[in-house]
Amino acid sequence: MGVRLVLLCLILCLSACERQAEPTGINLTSALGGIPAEGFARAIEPRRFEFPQDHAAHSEFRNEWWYVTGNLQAETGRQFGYQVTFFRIALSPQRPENASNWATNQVWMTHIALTDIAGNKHLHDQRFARGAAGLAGQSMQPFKVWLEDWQIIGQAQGEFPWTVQVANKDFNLKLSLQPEKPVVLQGSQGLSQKSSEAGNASYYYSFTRLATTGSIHYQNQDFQVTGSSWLDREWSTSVLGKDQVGWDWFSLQLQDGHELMFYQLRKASGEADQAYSQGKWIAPDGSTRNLSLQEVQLKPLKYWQADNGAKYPIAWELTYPAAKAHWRVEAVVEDQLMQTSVLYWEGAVQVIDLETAQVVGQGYLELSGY
Amino acid sequence: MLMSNLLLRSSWRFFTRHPWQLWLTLLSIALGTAVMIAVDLANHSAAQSFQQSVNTLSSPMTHEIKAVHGQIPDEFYRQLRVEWGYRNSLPEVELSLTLNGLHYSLLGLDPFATSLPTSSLGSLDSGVLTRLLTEADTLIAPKSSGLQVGQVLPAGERQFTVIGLADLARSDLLLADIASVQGNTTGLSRIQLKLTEAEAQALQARLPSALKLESFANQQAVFGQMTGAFSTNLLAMSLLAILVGAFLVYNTMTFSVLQRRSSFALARMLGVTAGQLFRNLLLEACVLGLIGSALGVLLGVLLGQGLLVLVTQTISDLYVSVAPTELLITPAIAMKGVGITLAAVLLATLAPAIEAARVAPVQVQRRSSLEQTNQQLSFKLVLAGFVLMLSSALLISSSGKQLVLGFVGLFMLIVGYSLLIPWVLRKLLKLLQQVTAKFTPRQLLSSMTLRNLEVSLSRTSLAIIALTVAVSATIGVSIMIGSFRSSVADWLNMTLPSDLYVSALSADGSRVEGSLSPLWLERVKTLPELASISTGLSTRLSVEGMPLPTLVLQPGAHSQRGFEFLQNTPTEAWQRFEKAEGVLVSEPFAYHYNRGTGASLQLSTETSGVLTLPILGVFRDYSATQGMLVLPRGLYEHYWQDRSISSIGLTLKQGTDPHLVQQQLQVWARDLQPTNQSLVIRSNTEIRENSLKVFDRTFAITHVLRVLVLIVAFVGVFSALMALFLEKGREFAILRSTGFTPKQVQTLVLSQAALLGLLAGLLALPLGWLMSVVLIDIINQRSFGWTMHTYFFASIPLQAMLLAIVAALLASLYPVRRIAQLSIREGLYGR
Repeated sequence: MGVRLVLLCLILCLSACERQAEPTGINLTSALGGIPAEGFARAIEPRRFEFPQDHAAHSEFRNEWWYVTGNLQAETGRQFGYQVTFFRIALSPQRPENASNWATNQVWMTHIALTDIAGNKHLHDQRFARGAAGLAGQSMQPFKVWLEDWQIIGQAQGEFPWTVQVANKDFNLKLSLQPEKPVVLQGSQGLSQKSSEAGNASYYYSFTRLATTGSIHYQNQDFQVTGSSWLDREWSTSVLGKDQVGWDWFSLQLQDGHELMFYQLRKASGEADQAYSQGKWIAPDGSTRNLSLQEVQLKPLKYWQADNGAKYPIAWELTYPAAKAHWRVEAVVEDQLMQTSVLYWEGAVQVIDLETAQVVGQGYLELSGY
Repeated sequence: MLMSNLLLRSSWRFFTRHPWQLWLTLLSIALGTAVMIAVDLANHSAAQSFQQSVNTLSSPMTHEIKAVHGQIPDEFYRQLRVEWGYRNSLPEVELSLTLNGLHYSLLGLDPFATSLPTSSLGSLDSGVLTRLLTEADTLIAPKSSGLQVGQVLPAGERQFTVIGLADLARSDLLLADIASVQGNTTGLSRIQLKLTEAEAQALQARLPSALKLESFANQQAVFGQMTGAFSTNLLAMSLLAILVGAFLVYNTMTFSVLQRRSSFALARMLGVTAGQLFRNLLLEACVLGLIGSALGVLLGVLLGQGLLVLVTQTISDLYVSVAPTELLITPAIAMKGVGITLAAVLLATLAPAIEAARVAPVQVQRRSSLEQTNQQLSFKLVLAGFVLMLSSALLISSSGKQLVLGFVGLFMLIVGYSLLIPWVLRKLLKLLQQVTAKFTPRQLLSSMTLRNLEVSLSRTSLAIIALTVAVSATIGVSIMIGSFRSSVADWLNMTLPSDLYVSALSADGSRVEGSLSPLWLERVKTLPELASISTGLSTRLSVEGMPLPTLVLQPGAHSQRGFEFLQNTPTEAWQRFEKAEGVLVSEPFAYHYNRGTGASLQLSTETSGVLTLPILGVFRDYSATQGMLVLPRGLYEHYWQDRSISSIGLTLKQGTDPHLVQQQLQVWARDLQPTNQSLVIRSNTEIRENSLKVFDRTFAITHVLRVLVLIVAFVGVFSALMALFLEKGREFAILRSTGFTPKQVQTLVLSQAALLGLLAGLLALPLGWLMSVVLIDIINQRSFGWTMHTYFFASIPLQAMLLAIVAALLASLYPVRRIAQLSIREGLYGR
């Protein structure tokens, strides 16, 4: 899921004049920019993935994330979407030579969101912390990724089930995740090439269907929920080419047991990058098939306009003839804009079969660079 | 309508024909306003600056957590933020740096802890934050500091490099990442928080006893309390300038009425009513007051800039570190200055306006009738003066600890005394005439000088009063400062009984509030030259629910010499103190809390709740205006867990060279003290000299204000004499035509001026002395709670006399030059 690398590149490289979401704060995005790739490890060739060890941080790379999205349903029938993402950003290849408890080269950023479909609401929040002084980090025994009291906790070495636990003034989530399918190595054996230059790639694996149970506290109510989540894990040092400006990324879970991951990288000219837009079709038995832009066609059907004037395509026609797929993928709530230090649209979607007009799946859509 | 137009035109003509008079009047009004505005501004901005220093980086912050001693453990911050969920929290580590004699405060913070206000950081260049975090010993400097990117600032063993510039509110504040500042050390200087009152209470309840939570609002209030007396003193000085200015306005207006009597009489004949004349004069005064005070506001802003530096310096020396900031002139301050000036001007014009309204149409007056009214009036004034002075004495003696009423009393005394002056002057001049007539009967010039002056008293007495008040203020303030300085010097001689002091400084380097490495004590004890040793811990303890500066003292054999007991037998108090039976309090504490020897006070302890302790003695102290407490070490260790010390006093054996020992200590300091803890090793002489330097700095502002008051008075005297002598053009021409040489006329004028100055100087002596008594015994005690010995300095009255005479002579220089150029013909025809 290289698209999110773009997200991080934006975080690291955007200048102060870009869409600033924190009018009262200093521009962390800008102030944290300018980290050279020199000295960091690069994703050049396929590697052997080891689990659960690879759930832990790979600090020799510049960027890394634990990206969880999902669609949930309460006993009462009320439906929710959620996102919990931990980003790790290394400011330099080595930790500074400083004995202080606070010294670190690691910065953590976490985005959380809850989509209340019935209430047509999207609530989100973000936090930053340094990876020191016990404020944020990733540790073992038990496996834990945390930023203050927002955390993902696994078993000792990172085995499932994992517990996702976040809370802010608007909502609390406490969810348990258990894979229903084996791990999917994205790209070519987990090496996901994003642009032509060698090393502009990431190591990328996913758990595309995680049975999810837990509770949501929201609007002074407790909801017992069940549903399905998706985990993306990715680490890299550099990814995008200069002419790539944004992406449209889909992670869809079909009711028949298939999943589709597909992203379309967009160039400055507005057209899709034919060479590096790609995806994966995952069968119920966990077997996978690579997809290219020649096999999957995307056509925007409906736009939603943000306050800043940007128009986001929140409904798409997706055609994948090999699987006889002809779907409408549309947002369940129009405004699922993440007004964080980087502006992007990330939200719950449903998949409707255009022939039968039946809902055949659900998932998440990410739109960036608009 | 027509009539008032006529009057206005006549006013306009009068002032355009007497431009000197107009300009000098405006100048004296402007100066009076300017001094007041400047002082007000400086006070206001100093308070503002304190507020900024409290929350430079935390404008939304409301509270801070500090350790009772030393640092807050790093782990506590994690607990506070992550476990207890206080996310509006900002950890800070502070270090002080010095470069080229300039003092900087280096603040290490966690940029991710809270959204720092853009206003305080401005825009940072891309990547600066990354470098701050990843490159060791880097910092951001304020653009206003003049520091350049790449410049290196030494901090002990370490070297910090400036890698970026930002718009910071304070020019002496440097920013760095918290890890950079911490380096090899651990712990936080403070944690700033944004809390509601309820959250603050909840946090207070679970806070470990080694930490304390303070609200900025409370700090602000305490600051206000501490510096209130100081501001009041400055305000009073500035009001004195207004008072002197008002005398001058009165003088000018009276004079202008006098000059226009014939035209007023003419106006009355033309049908102008008395009421119209009265209103016209008040209108004139209003216009003059408005223009003058508007000029004064502008001038005051300029002046205020200079004063602010002095005010903040004084506040930093006396109370708490503040940095001079930008001067903020608010409409309120300007309005206040203009308003008070206008009121003073109108009040001063009232009498001359009534006088003008009384002019009967037929009464084309000569001055003689006015001189007569003046004589009758001066007797009434004497009475009023006595009544005022008496009420002043009553007010001062009955107003308890009220500082403002003390000042009101002082002002009543000054005004009352001023009212006596015209009568006294008349008597003095009469006396002088008799004396000169007797001893130098043929000296025409001297008797002319005296007679002339007496005749013109209606116009000169006010100038004399203004000069008298200004000069007496100089005398009073000089005696007060001189006495204060001598008392402080005596006290310093006594209060520093040890030969050498090793002291740990607070983070901002201004106070002995740090903590010394425990190894110091062991090391120092090995010195063969050591005769006796004492240790001190400077802290703040909660006395009667308020934080009070406290010295925890482990006395040495020499320590008793450090205390001058005021109320009781010293030996008894000291013996009981050594047995840890109670506490000693400073004189300001005894004054503010009304507690003397034998009384008791309530002290909140760390381990045993509130403790009631007897006060064993009250000692003289000029170091803390809010008072201080001296607690025996034994008691402290019994009720507190803290074992740190902030200073060690060493008394050396007879014949030892303290410099050699000092060098030895300096060598030890390199390995004994952690780098982030500043340390000073000073001999008692150095501390004494340094303290007196601070003292002089503290009173720099008083000296400046005194000079400003004198300038206002000088302008007044100048304008009064100018007007007087210029008006006498015809008289001088007659003198010249009867055979006087220009030189003789000039001598006549100069001697009149000298006499005027001499009289003002003489009259200023008793008033100056009275003022010094009030300042020393009333104002100082009410402001700061301390008493002092009065010292008389023969040089002060001599200087004052000289000052008065020189001022008067200087003021007459221009008229004297004019006289030399005056043609007899022009003079005779009144051109």
